[in-house]
Amino acid sequence: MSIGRRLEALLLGPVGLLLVATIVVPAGVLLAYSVYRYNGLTPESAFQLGNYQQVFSEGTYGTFAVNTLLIAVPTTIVSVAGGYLISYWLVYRAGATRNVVLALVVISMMASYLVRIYAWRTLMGEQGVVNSLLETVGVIDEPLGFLIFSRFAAVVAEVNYLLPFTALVAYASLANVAPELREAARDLGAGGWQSVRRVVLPLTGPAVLAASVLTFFLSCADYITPVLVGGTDATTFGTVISDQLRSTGNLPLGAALSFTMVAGYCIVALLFRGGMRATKVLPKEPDDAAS
Amino acid sequence: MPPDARNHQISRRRFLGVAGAGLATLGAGNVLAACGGDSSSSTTATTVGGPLNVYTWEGYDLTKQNAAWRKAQGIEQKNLGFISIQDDVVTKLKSAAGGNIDISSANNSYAKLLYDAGLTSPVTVEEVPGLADMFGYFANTPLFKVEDGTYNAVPWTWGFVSVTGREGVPEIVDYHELLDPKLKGRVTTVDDAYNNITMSAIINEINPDTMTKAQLDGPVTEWLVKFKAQAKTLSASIGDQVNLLASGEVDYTLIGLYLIDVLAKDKGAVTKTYLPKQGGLGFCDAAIIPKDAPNRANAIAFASRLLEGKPAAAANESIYGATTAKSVVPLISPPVREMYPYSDVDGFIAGNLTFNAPYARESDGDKATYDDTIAAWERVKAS
Amino acid sequence: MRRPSGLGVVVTLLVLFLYLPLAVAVLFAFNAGSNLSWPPEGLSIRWFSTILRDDEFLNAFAFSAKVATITALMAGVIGLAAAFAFARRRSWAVRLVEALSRLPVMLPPLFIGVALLVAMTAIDYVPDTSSVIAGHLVYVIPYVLVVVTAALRGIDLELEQAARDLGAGPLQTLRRITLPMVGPAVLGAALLAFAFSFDEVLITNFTVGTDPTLPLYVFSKLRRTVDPSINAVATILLCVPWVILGVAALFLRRSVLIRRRSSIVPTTFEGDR
Repeated sequence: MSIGRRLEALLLGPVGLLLVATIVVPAGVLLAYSVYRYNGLTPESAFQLGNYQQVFSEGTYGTFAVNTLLIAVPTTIVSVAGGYLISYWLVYRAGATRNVVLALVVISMMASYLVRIYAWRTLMGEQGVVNSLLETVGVIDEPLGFLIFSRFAAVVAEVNYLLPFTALVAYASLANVAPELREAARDLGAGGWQSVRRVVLPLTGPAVLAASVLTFFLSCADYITPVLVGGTDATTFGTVISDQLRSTGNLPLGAALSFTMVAGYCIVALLFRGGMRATKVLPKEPDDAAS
Repeated sequence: MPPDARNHQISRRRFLGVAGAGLATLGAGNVLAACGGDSSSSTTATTVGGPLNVYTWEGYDLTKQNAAWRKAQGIEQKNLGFISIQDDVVTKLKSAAGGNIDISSANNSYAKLLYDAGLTSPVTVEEVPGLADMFGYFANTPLFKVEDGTYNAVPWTWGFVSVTGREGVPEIVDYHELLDPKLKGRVTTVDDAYNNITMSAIINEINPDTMTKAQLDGPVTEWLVKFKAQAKTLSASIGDQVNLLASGEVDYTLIGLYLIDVLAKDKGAVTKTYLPKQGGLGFCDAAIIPKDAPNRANAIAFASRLLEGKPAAAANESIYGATTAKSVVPLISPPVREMYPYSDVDGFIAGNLTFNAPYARESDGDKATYDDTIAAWERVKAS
Repeated sequence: MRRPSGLGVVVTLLVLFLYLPLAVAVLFAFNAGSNLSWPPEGLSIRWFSTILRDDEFLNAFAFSAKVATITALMAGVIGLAAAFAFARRRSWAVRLVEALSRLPVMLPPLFIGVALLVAMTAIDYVPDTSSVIAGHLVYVIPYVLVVVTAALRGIDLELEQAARDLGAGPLQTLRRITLPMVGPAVLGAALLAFAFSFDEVLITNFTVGTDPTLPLYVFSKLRRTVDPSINAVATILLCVPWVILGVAALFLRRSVLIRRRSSIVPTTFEGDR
C-alpha cells in the first residue's frame, strides 16, 4: 500500500503531535526557565546564566554528580554483564525452558518498584534476613553494616530492577544474530570465550551499547532508590533536581540542573560509544560486523 | 513592604507529605480545581448554607466530625484534594484555581506571608469569637495578629518538633549528646532544609529570626555536618522515620514529633518525643480564607468550629496536637491533653519553643536569607 | 537435554536474585505483625482485607486501570498509524518523527515529568487525568513504535500485492490482510504499554492531578506508615502482569507463526533446527 503525502501526515500526525506537545515544547519551556531568575516565589522572565553558574560553581553539585556516578557506573557494569549472561543462556542453552525463563525475567520487572525497595531493608537491615542468616551460621559475629544505607545497597537495589531491561535488550539482539553466529562458530571450529569475544560481542555490540546506555541513564535518573536505601552519602543529582522542583519550587535552578544532567548524559553516551569502539566490542563501521 | 520570602516552616503535615497533589477523599466527590468551578447556588457573604470548597491537609477537613453540623446548616463541603506540601497552597492561591477555594491552611510563617501578599483576607473576632479565647501567645504574636481584634488567619492547632527516641534508649538531656561517637550510625533526620537548619540554630542557641550568614555558615552548618556524619540515613518522610525507629535501625531522630509516637504505637513499637534543654521548634497551623472566596460565610462558620466544640478536640486528638483555644482543652481526652502544659501555655512556649518568622528572601545586611539556608543544607548533604 | 552448564548455574542465581526482594515482599504481605522487620510474626491475611476494604486503594486501583487502558488503546492506535508511515515511507517527516520518538527513552523520566509539570504551570493547565495519560503515553510510545514497526516491516509486501492483483481495494487489503497479520503485535505492544503505565511512578509523581494512581497511592502510604499493607498491594499487583503477559505471549507467538508462514523466504527463529 503506497502512502501519499496527505495520508502520511494523517498517520504521523498524532504521534508527532504527542511528542511535540509532551517532549519538545516542555523541554523548550524548561530551557527557557533555566535562564530565568527566581525571586523566592515565582520565576521571573530574564536571560541570565546565573543558574548555570550556580550549578557549576557550587562544589556541592559536583559532589552529587560524583555520588550519582559512583552508583550508576557499578550498576551499569553489573546489570549489563548479568543481562548479557542471561540472554546468552536464553538464546543458546535454554531450549524448552526459554519462554518460561523469559516470562520470569519480564514479570520481575513489573513488580512494585517501591515495595521492593522496602523489602531490601528487611533483607539487608541489621536484624534483616541476610545478617540473621550469616550470624546463625556463624560466619559473622556482628551484623554487617554496609549492606543497607550505603551506596552498595543502592547499587544492589538498582541492579535488581534494571537487570531485566538489559537482559531483554541483549536478548532481542542476540536472538537476531544467532543463526549467523552458529555458522561462524562452527566454521571457526571454536567455542568458548574466543568466539564470544571475537564474534558474538562485535555482532551484538550495538545492543550492548544500547543496553549500557539505557541502564546508565535509568540508574542516574532514579531519584527514589538512593534516598531510601543509599544512606547519607548517596544524595544524587536526581534527588537534588527533585528537591529544587518539588520542595523549594526554584524552577529556574531545577531546570538548569535538569539540562546539565541531560548534557552529561550525551557526553557519557558518546564516551561509552568511543570506549566500546576502542575495545572492539563495537565495530567501527557497521560493515565490520559482516566481515 | 510585603515580605515575599518563601519559607519552609514545616508542620507535621509536611512529613505526611502525600505525593502528588493529594489523595481523592472518601466520598467527597471529585475534584474540579480549574476555572469553571461549581455553578450551583452560591451564597452572599453573610448567609450560611450552600457550597464550601476546602483545600487543606488530610485530617483537617473534619469531613466526618462536622457531618451533622453541615446537614443542619445546609452546607455542602467539597474537598478540593489535599495539600501535600505547604507550598502547594501558595501555588494554588496564585493560580486560576485559587478563585474557587473558600478555606485552606497555612502555618505560622506562611499565614503572614500570604496575608502580606494580599492573597488572604483578615478575620475578626466578631466573625470568629474563638479568636478571643486563644492562649496569650497565639492571641498576640505578630505572626497571626494584624491588629487588635483582627487576625490574618485562624490558628487552631499547634505542636513542636524535637527529638524522638525509641524504646529502651536513654533520654538525652542535651541535643549535643547526639554527636557522641557512641551514637554513630544510630541517628537520623529528615531530608529537609528548613527544619534542620532552624533546629541547629536553636540547638546552638542562635535565634533563627536574627541569624546572620556568618552564623549560618559557621556553627549552624558545622553542627549539622557533624550530625550527618553520625546519621545512618536521611529519611524521606515521617513513615520512613517510624520504620527506622521501629525496626531498631536507629535510636534517635533529630526532627521528631508526637505524631511519630502515634504511628509507632500502631506498629507495636514505642517511641518517645520529649524536649531536651535547648527546647524545640514550634509550629502552628491556621485556617486561612482566600481573598476572593466565593462562600466566605461558610468558611467563617467552618473556621469558628476549629476553636470550639468536640470536632476541634477530636481533630487535635487524632494527631496528638494541642489546641490554641482554651475552651477546647477540657474536651480533649486525657492522654492527649496531658501531653501539653495547658496550665501555662505561654510560659511553656516562652521557655521551650521557638516559633520563628520566615527567612528573608532579599538579603538585608548580613542576615541569612532563605536561599542561604537551602544552600547550607545542600552543603551539609554533600559533606 | 543439555547437561547443566556453569552458565546455567549463574543464570539460575541471577533469576533467584531478581526474585529475592519479591519473595520477601510477598512473605511479609502475610505478616501477622505490623512492621517489616525480620522475622515475620506469624501468618495472617489481615493486610489483604485491610487493603481490599480501603476505598483509597480501590479508587487508586480503578484509576490506574483506567489510565492504563486508555494509554494502551491510544498508544496502540496512534502507534500503529505512525508505524505504517515508518515502515512504508522514508521521507524526511518520517525520519524526523522516528528520531523524536527515540527521545523519551533517552531522557530521564524525572526530566520528562518535570518538563511536563513546568509547561503545565506556565500555561496554567491544572494537572488532571489527561496529564497523567499524556505522561504515560509519551513514556510507552517508543516501545510500541519499535514493536509494531518491526512487525509491519516483517510483513511480506508481496502478499498485499497479491491481494491487490486479485482485485481487492486498498482498504480491503488493509482490513483482510495487513491488519490481521500485524494485529497480534499491536495487541502485544498495547499490553506492554498497559503494564508499563500501570507501574509508572517517576513521571506520574509530577503530572498527577487529584486522583492518585496505584503506585502513587503506595508512595504516599509509605510516607505515612510503612506496614505490610503495601506488601499486600504489591502481591495483588504481581498477579496482574501474569495475566497480561500470558495474553501477550499468546498473541506475539501467533504473530511470529503467521509471519513464518507468510514469508516467502523461510526464516528460522533462533536457530531452532
